[in-house]
Amino acid sequence: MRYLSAFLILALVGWAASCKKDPVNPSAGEKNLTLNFKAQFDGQALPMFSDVVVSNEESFQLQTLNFFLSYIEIQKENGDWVTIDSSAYVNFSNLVDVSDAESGVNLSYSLAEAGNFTAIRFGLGVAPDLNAMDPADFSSATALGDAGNYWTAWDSYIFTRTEGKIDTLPNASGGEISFLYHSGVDGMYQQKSFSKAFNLGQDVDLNFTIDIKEVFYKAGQEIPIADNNVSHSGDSSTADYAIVKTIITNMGQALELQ
Amino acid sequence: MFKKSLLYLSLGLGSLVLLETACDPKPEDIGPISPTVGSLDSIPYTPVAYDYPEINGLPAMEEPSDNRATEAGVKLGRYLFYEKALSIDNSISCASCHKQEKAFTDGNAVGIGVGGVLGTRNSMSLINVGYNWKQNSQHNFNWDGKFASLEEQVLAPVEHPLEMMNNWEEVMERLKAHPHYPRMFRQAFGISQIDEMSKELAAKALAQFLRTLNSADSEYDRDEWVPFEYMSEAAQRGKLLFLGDALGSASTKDAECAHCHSFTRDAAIFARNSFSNNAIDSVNSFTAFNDNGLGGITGSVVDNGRFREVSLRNLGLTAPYMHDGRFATLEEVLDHYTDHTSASRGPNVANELSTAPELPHLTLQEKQDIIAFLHALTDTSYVNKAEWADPFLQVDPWAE
Repeated sequence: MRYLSAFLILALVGWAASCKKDPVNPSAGEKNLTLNFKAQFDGQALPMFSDVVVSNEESFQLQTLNFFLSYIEIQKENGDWVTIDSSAYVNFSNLVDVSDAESGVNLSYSLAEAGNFTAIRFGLGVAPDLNAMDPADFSSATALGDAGNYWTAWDSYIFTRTEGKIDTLPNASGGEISFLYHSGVDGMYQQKSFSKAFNLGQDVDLNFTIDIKEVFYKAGQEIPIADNNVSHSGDSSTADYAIVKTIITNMGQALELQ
Repeated sequence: MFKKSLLYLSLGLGSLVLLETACDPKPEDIGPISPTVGSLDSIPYTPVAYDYPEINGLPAMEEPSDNRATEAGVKLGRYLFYEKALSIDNSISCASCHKQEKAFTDGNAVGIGVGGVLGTRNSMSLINVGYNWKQNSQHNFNWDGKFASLEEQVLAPVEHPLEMMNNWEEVMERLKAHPHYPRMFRQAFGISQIDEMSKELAAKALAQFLRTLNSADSEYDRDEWVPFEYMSEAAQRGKLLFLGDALGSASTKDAECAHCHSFTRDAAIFARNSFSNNAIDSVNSFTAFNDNGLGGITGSVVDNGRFREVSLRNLGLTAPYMHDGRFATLEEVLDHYTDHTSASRGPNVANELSTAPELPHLTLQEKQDIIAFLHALTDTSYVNKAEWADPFLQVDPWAE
């Protein structure tokens, strides 16, 4: 009887304790890793809806720039990779002032992982496993949950958007040409990896730039906007596919970690 | 000894009474009339989560974490939606501009407020309106994206000078003095005192009701989901034009509609919950728009002239079209898109329109096919749905 009483008391105490939740401090021991992305043109901050004069006396204006990143991972000293986000969306479309453009877009993560890290990698675009899914599979809190980022005709997310206009006659009328390039479909996914030593014993900022001049006017890889001003990707055998594949390839190469 | 026994007896009986009260409430004992002053504790509060029906083509409905729908909350929201006491002179309700038989629009170019005063914007359809909510976005509702949540949005018409012209203090006084609303607020939100009735709770109830107005039972939906049911041939041709670039290779004609009015099989909203300038006003600068739309809310000039890209579901019931109701027919809408969407009509015309190579070259037949597809998106299954109808038309509106 004495043991039974003791058991019942312990059981009661245990049950009561199970109902209590220890206070959680989610930030205890965690550090912030911020990935900052800045759009530039020839090294200068590039606000949306601002004209820049390119070397051939053509005026260029970017109005929309956004892209998905997939599987952002950082590498520990021992070589192991730590995934910090399966998908992120970098959207410059609201950065219309120089000061906003100079500030760029931040992706911020609170991480419990500490210690030394040697590299960061991610995919530019939507990784094939995620691209096999549908906006209805995701919360509206994520860009993958936004049907506007999905192109049903190709059963694919829109990996990158670059839209704007050029003026081939900046000192006369009649030279304006709007452009729209949307990349999608699995074959366009770009893997990027950057070596960088950092220690997450403190908050860390990693600063990326993407030079749009290197996307549209890269020597030998110029985008013929005046000849083909619109592409939604498409079948890999088409000129539409080729032009957007060049754009997303150039974007991947123009992304630099400072 | 006697006193101790009496004490134990009293405690025992008291406990029995408490157990009886807690475990077996008898709502039939409460009666339909609620007190209009003081405590509401005598009315049972037994919330039952609202079970959203699963609808093919529509994703799961998302709710704010602080306003999960309950049966009683949805019911209260429905009554408030049809409640004319929300307007200053008890003349109009939300339903005056959002009529069930018109997919919860009103058929007018712009909304009509108390005394017949004209508003400035077209009354938007409320079918599937809950899907306009994007978490983390501040601009989810109204033509100009003024409101982040339905809970915020529903507060506005009551005090708008071109709509109900009332104020929430007055509305809440009316509801607190009502013979039934205190009981319904108690049943919906568990408040203990009448004084706890608030405009915030009223807004939550209205939002709960609005998030239940979901339907997808059009000719398109049946074509997509029901074996051996198909849209008309014209609608099927229209769908190919609407979607363009279909079947894995560039199509010969692409009307480019699906860029903004995007859809997938499982998320067939036919809108991407975004804003754009669709060139309906020709301007030569960012500051020349008569109505700045989104720009009036964000303060960013590049947003001037941008308005919500609305769902194309139920267009057959929601004429006239555009934010100011300027187009009476879908034919006028299509004529606009084929004839007036060049980049020269403004500095921020949607690039999806201004770069569309084939859009200006659609033939009359092709436009008619697209219109046939748009009509195939109209769903009439809910126009007489009792759960969404005016409860005050029931024989006994307040019956439990």
